[in-house]
Amino acid sequence: MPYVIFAFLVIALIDFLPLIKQKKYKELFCVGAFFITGVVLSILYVSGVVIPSPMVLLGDFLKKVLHLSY
Amino acid sequence: MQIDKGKITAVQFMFSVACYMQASSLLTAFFVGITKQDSWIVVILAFLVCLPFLFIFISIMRNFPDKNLIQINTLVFGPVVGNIISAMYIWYFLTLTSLNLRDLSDFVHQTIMPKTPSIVIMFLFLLVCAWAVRFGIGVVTRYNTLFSIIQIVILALAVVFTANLIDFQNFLPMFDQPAMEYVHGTHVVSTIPFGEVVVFLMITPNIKLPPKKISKFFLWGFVIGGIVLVVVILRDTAVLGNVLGLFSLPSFETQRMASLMEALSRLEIMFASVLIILLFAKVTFLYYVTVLSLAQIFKFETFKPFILSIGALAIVYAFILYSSSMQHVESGTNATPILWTLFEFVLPMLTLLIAKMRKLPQTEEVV
Repeated sequence: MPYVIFAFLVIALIDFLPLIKQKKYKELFCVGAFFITGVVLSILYVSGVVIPSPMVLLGDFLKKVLHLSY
Repeated sequence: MQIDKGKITAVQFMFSVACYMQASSLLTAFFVGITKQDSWIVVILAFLVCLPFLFIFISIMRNFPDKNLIQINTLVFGPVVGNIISAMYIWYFLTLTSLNLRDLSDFVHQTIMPKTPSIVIMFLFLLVCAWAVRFGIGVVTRYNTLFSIIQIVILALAVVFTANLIDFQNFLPMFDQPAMEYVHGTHVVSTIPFGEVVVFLMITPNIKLPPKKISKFFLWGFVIGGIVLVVVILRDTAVLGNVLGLFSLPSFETQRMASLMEALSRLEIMFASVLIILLFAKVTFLYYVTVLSLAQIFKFETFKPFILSIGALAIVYAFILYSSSMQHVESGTNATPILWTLFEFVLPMLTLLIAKMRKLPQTEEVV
């Protein structure tokens, strides 16, 4: 967990500081959204929470709902 | 608005296509389990099936020479539907990046560095990719020609070194499986990796080439990649026979057996290095395309702010995609080809059809 937080802190410093200095708030908001998604998923993953895979869910949807499978 | 103004030559573009397809020679496990010793037939069939779709991609490139896929979606489908389709494509690009990153990590973990945690391999690898992506398309594709030629040379050497193990009886019995297996195998190969060349629609404005000449170079790149894949499968089948489907990395198993008398043996590290180099080229390209698409959809002036955040997201996404290599192969065999059909064949076909109906490039020129 500490490594994950440290890595994301480094990314935040590299990515966000220039955007804040240049007052590019739209960019900051968009990049921030992906950054937060990454942070949340990483913390959940290292905490041992089972995160459902979109590929597996879509595979199940194709197979069980649309009956599309080999 | 063109975000990356870098230009690549026609030869760089051609070898980038070839290199992208050559990198997939590791993914033969998705279909060799289905068609076994007849796998080379489905590769040829898939190549032929994909040719008309390749011409659809080329037509799109010719009709919109100064636009990438995200811009084309907005123009053809309108801002709302176009952005929804573009968002789906961004998910597709990110998923491909993570899947290939995972493939690389699993490969390195299984073959070269079994004691190194996957996260370390992925992190260091993506850091190098991020460095390349930062400098744009010129750097992303600069060494693809060299990588592609190295792989062709190594492949030729591997065929020579495994010559003493080749048994042509291994191709028999031929055409002995149910027809559905051939359809299934062809579908898998046509979507992974042949159809994946749809990603090159993202770099149309960066190719230093008149639109009319794109077809020649795109086609040659596709042919080189296709021939390499056929040779890889032929060699693997000739050496391993119908036990081909039992291995998770059949290509590497064949190369592990390669030797020239007693002096030159245990050459797999050389083959492994080439595969890693090719996967580097593929992941870097996909990573670049993902951040470029995001910058395009949000109308940024540069894609650079996205690089590290998307890199971190790609790593964690690579971990949550599949819990094991077997689940990955199962999905790659059954569900993924159906999902990818939408992005690689249905949507490009719809785009071209609607563009023709709306006479879009001409209409825009008049306006």
